[in-house]
Formats: sequence, structure tokens, C-alpha cells
Amino acid sequence: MDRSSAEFCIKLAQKLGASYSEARLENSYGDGYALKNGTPEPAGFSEETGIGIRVVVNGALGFASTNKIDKTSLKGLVTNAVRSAKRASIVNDQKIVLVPEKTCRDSVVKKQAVSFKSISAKQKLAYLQKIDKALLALGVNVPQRDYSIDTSVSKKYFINSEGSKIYSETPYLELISVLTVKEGARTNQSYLVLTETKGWEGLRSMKVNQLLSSKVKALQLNIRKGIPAPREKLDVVISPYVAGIIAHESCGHPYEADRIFGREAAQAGESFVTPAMIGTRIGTDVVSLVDDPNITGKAGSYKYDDEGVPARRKWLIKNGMIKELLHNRETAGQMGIKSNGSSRAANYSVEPIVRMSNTFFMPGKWKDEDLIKDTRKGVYIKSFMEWNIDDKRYNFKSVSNEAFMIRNGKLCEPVRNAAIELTTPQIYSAIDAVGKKVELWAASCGKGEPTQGIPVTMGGPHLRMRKIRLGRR
Amino acid sequence: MKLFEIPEYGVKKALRLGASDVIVDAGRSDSQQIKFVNNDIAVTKNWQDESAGVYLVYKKRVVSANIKTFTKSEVDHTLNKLIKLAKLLPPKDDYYGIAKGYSKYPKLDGVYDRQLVNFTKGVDKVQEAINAGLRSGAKRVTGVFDTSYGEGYTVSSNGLDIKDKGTAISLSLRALAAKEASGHKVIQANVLRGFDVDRVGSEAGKIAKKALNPQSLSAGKYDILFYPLTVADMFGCVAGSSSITMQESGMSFLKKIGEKVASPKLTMYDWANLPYGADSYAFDDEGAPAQKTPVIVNGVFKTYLHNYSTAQKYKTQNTSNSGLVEPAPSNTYIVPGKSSIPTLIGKMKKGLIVTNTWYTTFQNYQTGNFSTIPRDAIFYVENGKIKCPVKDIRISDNMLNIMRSITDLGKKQEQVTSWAAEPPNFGNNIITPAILCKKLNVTKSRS
Repeated sequence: MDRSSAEFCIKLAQKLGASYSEARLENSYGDGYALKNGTPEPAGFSEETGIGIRVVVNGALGFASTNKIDKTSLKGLVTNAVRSAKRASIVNDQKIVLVPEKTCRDSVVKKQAVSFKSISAKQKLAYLQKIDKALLALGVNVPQRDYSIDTSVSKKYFINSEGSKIYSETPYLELISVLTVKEGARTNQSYLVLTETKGWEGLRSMKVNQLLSSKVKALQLNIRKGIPAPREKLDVVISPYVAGIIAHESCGHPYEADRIFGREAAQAGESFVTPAMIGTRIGTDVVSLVDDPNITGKAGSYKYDDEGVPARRKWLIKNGMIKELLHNRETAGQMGIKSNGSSRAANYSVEPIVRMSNTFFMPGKWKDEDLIKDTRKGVYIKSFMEWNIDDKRYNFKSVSNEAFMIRNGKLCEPVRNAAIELTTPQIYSAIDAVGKKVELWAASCGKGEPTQGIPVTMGGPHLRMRKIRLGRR
Repeated sequence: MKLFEIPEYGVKKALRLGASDVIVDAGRSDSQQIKFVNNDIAVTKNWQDESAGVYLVYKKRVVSANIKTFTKSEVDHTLNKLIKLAKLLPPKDDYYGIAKGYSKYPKLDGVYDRQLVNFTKGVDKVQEAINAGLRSGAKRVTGVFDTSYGEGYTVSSNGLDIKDKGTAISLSLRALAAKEASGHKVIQANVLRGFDVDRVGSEAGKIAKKALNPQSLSAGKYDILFYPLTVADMFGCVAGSSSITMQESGMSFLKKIGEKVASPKLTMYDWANLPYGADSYAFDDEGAPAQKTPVIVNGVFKTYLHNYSTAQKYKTQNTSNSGLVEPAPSNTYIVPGKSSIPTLIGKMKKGLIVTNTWYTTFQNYQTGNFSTIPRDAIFYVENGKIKCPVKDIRISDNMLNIMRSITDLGKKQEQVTSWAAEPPNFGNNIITPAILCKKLNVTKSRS
């Protein structure tokens, strides 16, 4: 990457009248392989270099991007961005303020212990074939089996007009499986994404065979022996996987300050949370939830955000109290505070906006087995398929594809399609016990226009909710 | 090497290297977006891109790549690398080739408007839309206005050799009269004529005003009148499920061709060469001439969507929906009924008008069990009259049941796309009227 092209853009933007400018020059190389029902699907690779710039002109914000990195194209790009922002500033009532942050200069290179380049295409596809073979050997009927594996390395050079210069290199490994288990005429499905910001060695920590084997057996058992969820109120123990979707949808998203200020209202929605709610109670004392980009090797991890602000852990809920929102420099400016480094862009071609990183419930004091032992009658929900939440992030639903009755402290028969359908405060107010061991699960989070799918993780320990009425399908 | 010299050169070179089928395309695009929030412009965006890509088959090994720089040596390098990659892979036994292409296709009306090339009146359009929303009762107007121009050149080893260009314009606008009272309207087209942002702002503002002070509603069975934006989100899943690859992956609730999957009132086409369609094309990605394909006719499932290879595999007709890797829907066209919106409302005993929805997610793609969560204005209807706006509900039902429960369709269509498309929705363009269904299951957060 020729870093001078980013520097050229910044200098030109300032010369044309920008009070602030930044550039993200990126190069990414990746390849992908897929296997469907045992047959290889088209494979391929791609490499792209491009630049995205943001300018503030008379209090209005302009963004532009291109993959044409010659001086003439860049000059046109910057001129357009400045001109468009200037035009917007004439009609706007409000002016955008990016809160001042210290400048940073750094190089952050995440090394691959086993480089993607050292693994041949044949080996990558063979890995999927090996997974498929192991799955078929289980004797479970899985007529539809989709797997894909993608590897990529992204190199990014961030520079702004305040003096920050940050270079980073991030490897990314993603494995997706979509499985349908069939018993007679009935089916049960699973969609699972596994990611690591590591080299090929990341596969070791994914434990793919173990995970998929346990998954299809559980789906089969659920079809064969699953009963409907009881209608009465009972205790519900949820796994880290289910805790994760709650953490992400019912805490991470509603705490995004841009959403709270209405910036995402048209598409990704707003939030029931307001700045005035900071310091107020939303859950029981045992509920604490963070968004933390500083976890090694996870898909949501980064050292600096896409405005060059150092990443740090954010306590969204601490001991049941709303503590902090997720901010970029613009929303922090609106609240008169500092950014907490939550600005991310999926790639150079989209503007950085407020995003989550790794969002999870903090651990408590309970051993996992004790959560079950201590429950007289309840349901343990291990995983889900269907889920959704409204655009103010208040009414949540998830439906299990793997769940079990708990009777007198023991896991018993499977439960079919148990639905958690509760408001956000109901969920956090019902939690009375929190496990010790946190697990993080991967996902792609969508937001922005055009939609930016960004890698995140979500999770927590096992949690118990008291006196919940589950829904059925 | 000039960008548009790449396709012809690339195909010839790939064939010399031993490829059996090749498609090379090149394109450039110039797009603008204005995102407006709380009556102000939040950010202006510009994109200028050039791209070139190769789809290549070597002894039934199917591979693809983009070309990162537009030089002869880089094209050679990419092709050599692709052949090398293909040689490492096992064959895709269910691959049967690419469609025959042409150098001329029937002209498609309404896909290009030179007024939209370097369009400079975006700020004026946005202000017009905001003001219309505010005049109609909104306190805050927010949304996204997009315009774009693109041109491309594609050559295949089976006769495709054509240059193409197109433009697009769209506005997605949400008007809020209060925090829980909003209306959302979308308009999209390829030409400026008839693109009425004032109407969009005004209609969204009026809906928002009517939605003030929403009430709680009991869970239960309700007739539901789905407005077009809602249909885009939900029936996008029907269109997505009709792709043969979704069926192969176990992601489709549409099973047997000839099966009755919907009420006889429902007829749905995949209409790729629809004049003025936002997702229209004269030819698909491999050069098959675009067509109008009946997917559901009078409630009966007629065909999956195919590209050439999948059609050969299943010994059926190509529907021209390539998607090289997988067939994908083009414009989904739902045939309108004869009823006005007031007539449809008049037919509801105990029902809901749902104006928008998102997060349409499936518990089981094969059975069609799903839920979706309405957003923006929802109105409760009793004995044919709107009683009050309501909030905090969810539709938890089955997609086949919904299709079978259709009792009537509106006479006026809108062309819309859902922003929040989840699989199996491809997020494609839908031309649809409002749709009335009977007795669907509505749930809500439990006490």
C-alpha cells in the first residue's frame, strides 16, 4: 500500500477548507471454499485496495471512497467530498462536533502462527470434506449440509488531520455451517458461525467436529423426544450462546449512542434507552454487561477504532445499573464527553459508525452444574434459531432448537421450540444467578446504509432467570 | 490496459489456458448518498469504483476472482492463478455449463436516465421530502436518498459480448410525530420521471400523525392487512426460497412443483425484464435473455429459479436468474387485486394494519415457521373501521399459512425493497399491492 495516497487526501482536504479530515487506506486479500451436501461449490479469491475519507466542513460531514488510487481520481474524490459537505452545511441547522481526542501513532500487527498462505486450496477444501465425513459417520440423518470456510488478511492505514497514524494487519478466519437434521417427516435446523482473528491455527480453538457432532445429535434427540414447553411460569437457565444474543440485541444495540440520538432511525432503528437513564436500574444486582474490544483473537477485537481512538472495555450495565453508552467522536461530542472508541467500519468503502465489539455478560459466582442442581423445575435452553427484536430494542424473542427440562436439579427430556418472549427490563430483572465461565460466540452484525456486516462476538456465562413464562410453537 | 479491454482479452486468454467456460466482466460506478437525520443532513457520501471479475471453469472445477489492477500482466496473473487453483480442486459433478449469450438483446425501457448521471439536485430533493413530512404532521424526518450510475461490459466464452449501463434513484424516509409514532415510506426507480419525494414525505408524515398514542393489544388471532413495505420483507423470503440453491441447502419452505402453496388469489412472477423495474436486466450474469417467470400462479407453485447449469441438472427450463454461483430473484411482481385500501379495511372484522416490519427470521426454513416484528405505525381495526394505533406486537406464524390465508389484494402497487432483509430474503426489489390475510397469530412479550 502506498501510504502517501492517504496523506495526499488529508492535505488536500484541509487545503480545500475541511476543519477535520481522515483517511483509511486498506488492502485485503481473501479466499473462500464451500461444500454443499458433499459437492464442492465454486471457490475463489479476491484482492482489493481502496481508500475511504471523511471530512468535516463548516460543521457538516462528508464521506467518499474509491478503489482508484491514482492522484487524479483521489483529487476528484476529495473535492467531491468537501463540496458535498459544504453544500449540506448551508442547509443544516445543527453543526457536527467531533470531540477532541489525543493523537496516536502505532503499528498493530496480529501475527498468524500458521499462515493462510501456507495452506493450499486443496487442504482448505479437504478440511470441509473431513468435517462432513465425520458428521456423516455419526449415523444421524443430515440430508442438507452446507459448509464454507473463508480466510482473509486486512491491512489498514489510518491517518487523520490531527496527527494520528495507525497501521494494522488483521487475519480473519470464518467457518459457517447450515445443517438440517431429519427424522421421518420432521426436521430441525442449525446455523452456526465460528470466527477467529488468527491464522489457520484458529481452527484448533473452534473445535468444529466436536461442536457439530454434539449439535446434530441434540437436534435429532429434540425431534425424537422433545415435548412442548410447560405453560406455567418456571425457571429458565440459558447457555452462553443464548446469553450472547440477549447481550447483543437487548444491551449492545440499545446502548449505541448514534441510535439513541436518532441517526439510525430510518433503518436500524432507535432505542428505548435515553442518556437520562444512565445511573438508573435496569436489572438485578448480579447483572453486569460489557463491550470489550481488548480480548485476544476474537472477531470483535481491535486496539484502535476507526477514528483512531484507543479501544477500551465499556461497562454497559454494572450491578444492574445502566452505566455507559457506546460512543464515537460525534455522539461523545453531543453529550460533552470523550469517545470510548466504538467507531467501526466494515471496510474502506463505508463510513465508520458506532458499533459493538465483543459484548457479553460478566461472570458471576455459580458453577454451571450448580445452576442446574439448584433449579427444582425449569428449562435449560442451549441454543436457538429464530430470534428478533423491535426497532427500539425493547421486545425480544428467541426460539430454542436445543433445550431440556430441568426436574429436581437434573437435566431431563428435551423441550421443543421453547420461546423466550420478554421485554428487555423483564429479562435483566429476572436474572438471579450467573455462572463463572464466559464463552463468546461469533456473529455478523448489520447496521448502516449500505448495510455494513461487521464481525462481532457475543456471549456470557450460563444465567438463570426466575419465574419466566415460555412460549411455544 | 483500459478497463473495458479486459473482458475480451480475458476470455481469449483463459480459453488458451484450457478453461472450458469463462465469463469476464468489467464495470465502473459512481454513486451518491445523502443521509438525513432529525431534519438535517447527517452525512453526504460519494463512491467511485471500477471493477473487473472472472468466472472460470476448468474441467468442471468452478473458480472465480476479481482483478485488482487493470494491466495485462495482472489479468494474466489472475487467470494463471485461477487455473492453478482449479487444478487443485475436485470437480463439481453437478456443473453443466453456461448459457448461450448474445451481442444484442431487446431494449429494456426505464433502466437508464441520463439526468441521473452526476445528479446534483440531491440536497434539494431531500429538503423537499423533509418539508413534506413536517407539513404532514411529523416532528422529525429521517432517511436515506441514493442515486447511482453504472456501466459495464461482459464477454463470455459462449457468445455473450455486450456493454450495458443503468441508473438508479431511491428514497427511504421515516417520519416521526413522536418517539412511538412513525410512518415509513420507500420509493425506488431507475429514472427521475415520476419520482415524487413530496408524496413520500407527505404520506409518511400522515401515517406518523395517525399513529400518535399507540395502545397495547392482546395477543391472539387477527386479520392482517400488510402494506407494501411489509410485503417486501416477508415475500422477499418467498422469492428467496424459490431459488433452487436455497432448496438444495434446506433453506426453502417451497417443496414440490405443482403443489398448492398459497391462496388462489396469489400470483407472483419473477420478472427480470420488467420495464422500469429497479432490479431489471436485459440479460442475466451468464447472458441468458431476461424473462418473466411465473413462480406462483393462482396459489400453485410453478418453478424454482434457475441458472443454465442448475436447469440442466434438474432437466428443466433456465429461468435466466444467474447468479453465477447461485440463481437469485430479480424483480418480484405480485399481481394486484381490485380492492382499494378502504375496501380492504372494510373487510376486516378484528384486524391489524401493519405498515412495516423487520427481523423476519425462521425457526425452520423447511417448515416456514417464523416470526417478524412490526415497526412504525400499526393500526387496530374493528368491524371495518380503524379504532386506534397499537404497539409492541409480533407476528409469529408460518409462511405457507400466511400465503394460504390471503383473502384479497389491493389494486395499487408500490415498488419497494426491505432494508432489513434476512436470509432467505435476497433483499430484492418487489412490486406489490397491500395484501390482506385472515386470522394470523399475533404474540407479544409475556408478563
